[in-house]
Amino acid sequence: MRGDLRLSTEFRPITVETNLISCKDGSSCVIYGKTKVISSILGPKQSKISKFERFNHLSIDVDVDLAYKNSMDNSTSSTLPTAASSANLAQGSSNSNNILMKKKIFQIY
Amino acid sequence: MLLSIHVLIINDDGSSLPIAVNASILALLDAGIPMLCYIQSISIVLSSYKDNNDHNIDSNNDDDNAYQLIVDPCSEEERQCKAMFTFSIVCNDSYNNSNNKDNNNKNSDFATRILLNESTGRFDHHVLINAAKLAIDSIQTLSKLTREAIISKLKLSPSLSSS
Repeated sequence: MRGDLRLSTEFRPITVETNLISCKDGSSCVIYGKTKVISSILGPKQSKISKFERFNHLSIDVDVDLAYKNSMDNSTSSTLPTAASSANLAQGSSNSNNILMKKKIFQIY
Repeated sequence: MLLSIHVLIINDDGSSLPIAVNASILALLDAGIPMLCYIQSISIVLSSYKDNNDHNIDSNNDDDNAYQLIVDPCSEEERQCKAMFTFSIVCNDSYNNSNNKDNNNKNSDFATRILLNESTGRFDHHVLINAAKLAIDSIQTLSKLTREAIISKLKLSPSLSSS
């Protein structure tokens, strides 16, 4: 038995949703216990930058943002940046600079 | 052509990489982008503690190298673990149907189904193989959830229900 009374092969409670954001082509929200991730897809569409355009090829641009305070104890994670980033994502604005912890983590993932 | 995927981690309480992969795959299915297969991702940690009340088939009984594999760790378990494995596994229809057949079929699936493996920490090779087998066994729950989500979405869409 573990700290949260799960068996060793048991998952946390899982919630799965699709079709959250109307201005994107595809979107989903996956929640495992306290971990919550929103993913959204735009395209495939004609790229405005010519280096992404190659015959018979699909360029994929993956962008990972963190919308929480990256502290060691999760108890201090406030709901304010979460609400702000959710509202930003819902508006579909690409310049999400007012998210507190905007951080590109290409090199990790 | 350009396809842009935007992943936003709202809150992180452990195993955020497999959840991000699962969310992206679900969003790709939601967008209706044709794919050769669909994958599900899972995170497994190698824990040092041993609990005799928990009847786990994957735990080793030797006292020298007693270990336990734990599925879907939270951040506390990730911090205390010896090693951590992340697997992405192909979950097509053919694999789900062939699950009831003999074990030879299952062993041949074993190598071909793993698309991604990211491991950190110190472990033996048989721990990695046991973790991969445990991942393939527990991936059924996740693939069933994804399937149900897509089926319920298709039922809701007006263009399909009218035809």
